[in-house]
Amino acid sequence: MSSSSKPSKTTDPKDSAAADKSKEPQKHAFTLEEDDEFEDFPVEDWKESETDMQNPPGGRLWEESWDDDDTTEDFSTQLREELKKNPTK
Amino acid sequence: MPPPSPPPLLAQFLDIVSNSRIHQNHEQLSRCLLLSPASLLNSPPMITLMTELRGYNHRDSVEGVLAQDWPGFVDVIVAYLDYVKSVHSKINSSIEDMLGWFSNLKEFMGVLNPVFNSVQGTIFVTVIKAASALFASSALRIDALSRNPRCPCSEAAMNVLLRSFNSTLGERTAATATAPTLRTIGKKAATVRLANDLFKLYFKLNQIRLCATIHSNIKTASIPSYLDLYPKSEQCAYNYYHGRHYFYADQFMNALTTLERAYVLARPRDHKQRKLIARYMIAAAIILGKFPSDALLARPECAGLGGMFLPICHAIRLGDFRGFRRALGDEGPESGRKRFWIRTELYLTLKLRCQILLWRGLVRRAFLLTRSEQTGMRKKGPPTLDMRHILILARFLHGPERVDNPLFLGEGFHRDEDSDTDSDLGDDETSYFGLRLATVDVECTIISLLDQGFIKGYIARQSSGPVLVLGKSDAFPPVAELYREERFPEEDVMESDYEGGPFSTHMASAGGGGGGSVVRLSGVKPIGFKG
Repeated sequence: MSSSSKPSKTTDPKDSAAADKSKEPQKHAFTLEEDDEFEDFPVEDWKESETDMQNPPGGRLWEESWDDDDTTEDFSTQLREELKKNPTK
Repeated sequence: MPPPSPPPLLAQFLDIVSNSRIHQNHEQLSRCLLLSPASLLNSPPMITLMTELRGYNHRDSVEGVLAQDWPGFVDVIVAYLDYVKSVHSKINSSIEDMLGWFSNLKEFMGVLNPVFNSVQGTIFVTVIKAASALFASSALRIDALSRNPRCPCSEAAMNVLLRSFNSTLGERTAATATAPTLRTIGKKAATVRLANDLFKLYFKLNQIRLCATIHSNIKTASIPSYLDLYPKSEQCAYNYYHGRHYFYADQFMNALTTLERAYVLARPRDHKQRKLIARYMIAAAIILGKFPSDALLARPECAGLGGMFLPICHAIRLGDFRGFRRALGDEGPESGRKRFWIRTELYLTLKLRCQILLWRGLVRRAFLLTRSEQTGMRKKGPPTLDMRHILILARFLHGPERVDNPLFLGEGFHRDEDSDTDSDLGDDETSYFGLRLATVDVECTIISLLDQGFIKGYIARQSSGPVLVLGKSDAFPPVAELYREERFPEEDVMESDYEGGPFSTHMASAGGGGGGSVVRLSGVKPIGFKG
């Protein structure tokens, strides 16, 4: 099925963006094995102007309307076949 | 007879310490009382001081130079110099040496704590912050290196730092100040730093429920009302741990808001911290029906996160239970996924909380696939969906994947076509395999979806069986909108009366409030409802 993906070493953020655009899952990267501890910051304090509080980066953080009406992809095709194999009438 | 004059560098050291105390200069005192072995061994004056101290009884000198009106202060400086004496260049050479050094640091903390707790203890506020950071991180490091499952150093650090934390809460000065500053809040200036180090230990030792007491005490001390006084590093870490605790307690709206705050407080260059925040922020957002945008995933700190989270989003969008199992690593060749989700403590939460969204996606997909045949048959009236269609698709997707090439079978991968047999029953209650899906299961799920507003419509009885009658427009409102509506009361604060956690005994029953209760989700607290 379409959501299956082979292991890949890519961590390029552009890949992520591209994958979401095509609404296909991105080839994943298991490069997240580093320490899970919240490290101390190298400095104790900084100005608000150095954060995103005053300089929000472009683009929204979240997609809230993600429903997809496309029924031509592999997954829908499989479901359609399954329905055909099991007629209800 | 007067005590002999101290060696020159010790005399100078004691003068500066005395001066810091007289002028209430916390920062200068902290600069004098260096604690980390690296900073001590890299400071030529401190190395000279260590040489002077060897074989010298410094107590008399300390008592001679520092005033006698506060014996506790003298005790701390004497204990500090004892600690400095014990530091040597081979501390990191073996576990035994590390444990010896840690024991000396603990001894110093044991002397410092009661003195810090006294009324005059505010002078040590900067020292205690530095000591807390060093104590917590060293404890974790030594326990990790010694591989002692009982984590004795971390346990000791938790007890010591909790006493320091409680001392800060006794400070009364902040209550009277109309416009508090870090200076006027006294010992409370160390509260957030100490709390963050305690959180770090609690999370590492899987004692997350203990966070509730810390949050509760911080709230009682009104610290959230002036949290912005604290350094950004402390604010950010505090919001991160608070968000993680909300997430642990299944309060996803609070978790998302708090983690978003932590995220923007960190500078873009702080990749490691932002990455960790983003991981839990994205997980909370997905549960609330908000998928990470291209713009977010394109940020450097999110590198790799898209690969983990996008397959989950994709499965939810389509109602693809099987794809979801693969995304979690339950099925398919990528078992490394499961290790990742378990390691990050997201596995169970995602597995349980995304179920309702997957069902919504599947019902929607079933509607999209069957609406063409409906339009041919029915000219008028609202759209309907035969529940038998949903049952067929749900059974298909809850069964094991059919593959042609057995080389790609992953762990827990079944080849039987029909999962509705006893042979497929798993011993894990949340297992997908062995789900005996029947019409009644689908009906229950639909009722839950309707009740929670994920679907607009109602169930009608027909001779062929139950039929889902959908609203003429907007039958599947965006999930994110549901959590913005007023009918979802604001999540309750869990600090005082609820310790949270997926297995907490405080969990509301699944039926209460009608939310989130879908197949095999008994015992899970509904999102957005008071427990």
